[in-house]
Amino acid sequence: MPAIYTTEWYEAIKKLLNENPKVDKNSPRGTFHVLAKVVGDARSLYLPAGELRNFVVLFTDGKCLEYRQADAPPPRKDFEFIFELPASVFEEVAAGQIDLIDAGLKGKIKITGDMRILIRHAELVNEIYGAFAREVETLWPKGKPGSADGAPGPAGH
Amino acid sequence: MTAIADIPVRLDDNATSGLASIVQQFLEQQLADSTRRRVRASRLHGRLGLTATDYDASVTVDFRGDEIAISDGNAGPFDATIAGSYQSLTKLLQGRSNPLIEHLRGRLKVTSRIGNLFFPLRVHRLMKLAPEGNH
Repeated sequence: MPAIYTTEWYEAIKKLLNENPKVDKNSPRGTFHVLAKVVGDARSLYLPAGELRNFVVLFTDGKCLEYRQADAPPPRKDFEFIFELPASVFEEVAAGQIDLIDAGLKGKIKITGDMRILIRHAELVNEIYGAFAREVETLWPKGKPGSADGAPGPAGH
Repeated sequence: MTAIADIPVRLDDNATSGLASIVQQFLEQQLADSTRRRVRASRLHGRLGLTATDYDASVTVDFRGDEIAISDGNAGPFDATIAGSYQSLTKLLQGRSNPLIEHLRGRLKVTSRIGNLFFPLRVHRLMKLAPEGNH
């Protein structure tokens, strides 16, 4: 079971996305570069306030070809979609504790990009959320998000 | 078709919701791509309330002819309102459904002011996505 924010965890997500026929079916054709900027905050057990992690995701014709952490912040102009969110929100989504769409509609996740593509392929969001929140087994070495004592929580979802 | 100036789609300074930001970007991109849509937008005057009932998220879209302003919440009085599940609203924007039919089927609640009866249909015509490959 891979721990959150590890290469193994990113690979597990990538594999789940690529094995899901609904992701393939609902994805736009073509190549899309997606940047997720996860900003550390006081509520996160994993990313302290002031720290930033950039995730680069590359989709081509419904397949996730790349899912990696970038050391330096890449230029925004290189991406068709940018998602910016606090680490605690990212972790709660990964733990299945908050709804991805709710977080998006309420402004906890800032989304920039071609909304026409996002709306046309809205069903894809559900599939991606499912991979993060329900399918991948995640190890939480410092405890699951929202756990008051911070005790390690091996429970996956 | 007559050339028409850009119609700015403005996000209210106090708007913090993701729904408002999504609608603002969506409308801006729809208008940027199509003179026909800009002409339609310039002829639209009225205030629309849009609510995703299952997520308790609302925005107000104010069509003013020379600009469109988006704000959070229900800032009436409205010329029309459209309320329903997030999925039903998405289908509407995707162009896979029609506000009148969805209202009759009970999947959306659509209201309009007597003096602006067709406003929801005109807004839908402006906002809905064109079939893939067309704008």
